[in-house]
Amino acid sequence: MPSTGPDPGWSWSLFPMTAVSALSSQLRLFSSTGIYRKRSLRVVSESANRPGSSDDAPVSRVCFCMSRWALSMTSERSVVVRVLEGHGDRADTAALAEWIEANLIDGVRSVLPASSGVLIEFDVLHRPGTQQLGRVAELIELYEHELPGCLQQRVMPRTRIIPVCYDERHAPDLVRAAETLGIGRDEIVDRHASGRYMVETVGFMPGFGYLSGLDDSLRLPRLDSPRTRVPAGSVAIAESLTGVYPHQSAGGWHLIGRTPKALFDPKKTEPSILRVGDTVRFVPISGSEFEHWGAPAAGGKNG
Amino acid sequence: MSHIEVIQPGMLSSVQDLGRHGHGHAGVPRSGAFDAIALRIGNRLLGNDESEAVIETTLIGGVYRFSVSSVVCLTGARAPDATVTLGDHSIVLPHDEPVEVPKNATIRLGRLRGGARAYLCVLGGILSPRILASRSALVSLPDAGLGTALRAGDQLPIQHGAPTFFEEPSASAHRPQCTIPCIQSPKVLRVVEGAHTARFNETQRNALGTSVFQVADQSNRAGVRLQASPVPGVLPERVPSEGTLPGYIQVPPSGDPIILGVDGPTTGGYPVIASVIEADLPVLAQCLPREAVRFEWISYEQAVQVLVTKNELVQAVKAIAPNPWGGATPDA
Repeated sequence: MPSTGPDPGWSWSLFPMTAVSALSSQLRLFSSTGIYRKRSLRVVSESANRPGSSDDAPVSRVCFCMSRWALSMTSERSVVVRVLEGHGDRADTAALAEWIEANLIDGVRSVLPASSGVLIEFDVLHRPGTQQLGRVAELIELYEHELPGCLQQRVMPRTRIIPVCYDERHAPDLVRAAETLGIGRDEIVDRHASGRYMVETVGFMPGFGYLSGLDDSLRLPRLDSPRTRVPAGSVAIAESLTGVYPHQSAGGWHLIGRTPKALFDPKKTEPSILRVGDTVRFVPISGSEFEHWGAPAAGGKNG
Repeated sequence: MSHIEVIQPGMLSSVQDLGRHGHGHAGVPRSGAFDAIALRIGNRLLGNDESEAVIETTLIGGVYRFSVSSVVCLTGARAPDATVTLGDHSIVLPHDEPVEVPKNATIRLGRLRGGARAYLCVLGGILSPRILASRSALVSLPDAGLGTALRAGDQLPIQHGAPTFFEEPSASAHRPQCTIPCIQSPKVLRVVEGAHTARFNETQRNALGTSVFQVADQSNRAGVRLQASPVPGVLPERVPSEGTLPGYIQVPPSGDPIILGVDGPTTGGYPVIASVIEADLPVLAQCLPREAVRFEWISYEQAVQVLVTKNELVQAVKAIAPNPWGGATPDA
């Protein structure tokens, strides 16, 4: 086809070698200042023959392991940075995501932190993917080894307080949950409201946080058939997680309460009140406090 | 006021631009035109900025009335019955060509053919408010404050006044051959290795490349569900939640793959066997319910090359003078 294909300098077919040399040339910038430690970088390249293809060229699954992070391609336009097992948690992931987001602007479309890793999506037309991979590696290197602790852009620990009304009319699944779990209704409320939760991931829908830290005695499998309509603000549990539905939607979790607080406001610069790594506490409120809180989050006709 | 009034929204129509990037960490999908190439070509033919907002319609196009004269360009899936009507005079609305629309004229799109989504692009774009830097509607969650599907009676603001910018009409300018990017059957979606490809065994990966799948009826902008050829054997377990992108092919326990669309969730816990390349998302967008599709494995390098090539083709499209109303009536 056209003669102006991608610049051979960053051709993916040469990926392992080019990427490594691009990476080392960029990291040499640091070594010239005497602070780059080569041994912290390991390059792991698995090659697998591309399945179901007449073409024999192998596809390389390439993964860089640097200190406690592993970088791997997840499509032609994205890289995931995972924390190696036992070397950190979602707070580290969230901090790294913020650091990358703050320092890697050109050609990055999105940075998606989750409990297990940070997904970075590139605009590959804007800048070659290998350069981006190199830049990510360089940033991580800098983040891990060169910055004094006080400069590491640690995410300030935040605690979000969410008021919850556990009255029966807002908690359609509470009685059934009590029967299934074999503990009292009030006991479920006490244990849920006394928990200290951590935002593992924000996803599923705008502003929805997957919160870990649910008391083991409250574990229930998801509903066999999801509800087609969960009211906005519903507080729910399933398996080892709890969460709040910010918008009316379908949902397969057990509804045990409802918050009058809006969790997502697209008019704000930071529309979701929950961020990966945040701590969340639930505070029980009465039915009348719920009513007087103001209009529920949205779609409030299902109360 | 200058606007387009929605008389009938068709099966599912919404305002879309090139999407809402950079809010995935708040759980906000990127949205935007599913067939972004059709949107870009339509805007370019009109002389618009590539990213202007347009009306995306699905399967049945709807009816729209213009309160001011304007120029439109219909791209994406074909709409063989589409007309522009003023009083008792109608012309056929051609495809991939700018057409003048007089004040008070009505556009009827009718049933779409050969693809699932058509794009009604308008001179100057649709000027509905931007939310989080985009005019794209997240149609699956009307309560989220990120726009809704169009409803009868909606008024979409547009630029006022007739066009004057076509100084050098150049009918010989580069016209796109066709904004439906793939007319093979089964449609071919090229895929690259995904986040968990290595967790699937060779038989399963081969099966993805050789099976023919059928697009399920429940497919929408959030995800295209496939049926008829479940991934065989013991599937990998759920994985810890991780960021997801449009094009990711998740394999839930049923084995029937789900390809995430532009409104898809931003995180997911099903293993991802492969990812449809960015350049083929427009092909995915045009897959009709029950249509046959298959996958073809390619390398990351090839995926980038395809994207570069398609991008060059789009960028070669130049604005062309509109077919005048009442002048040479374009043939059907």
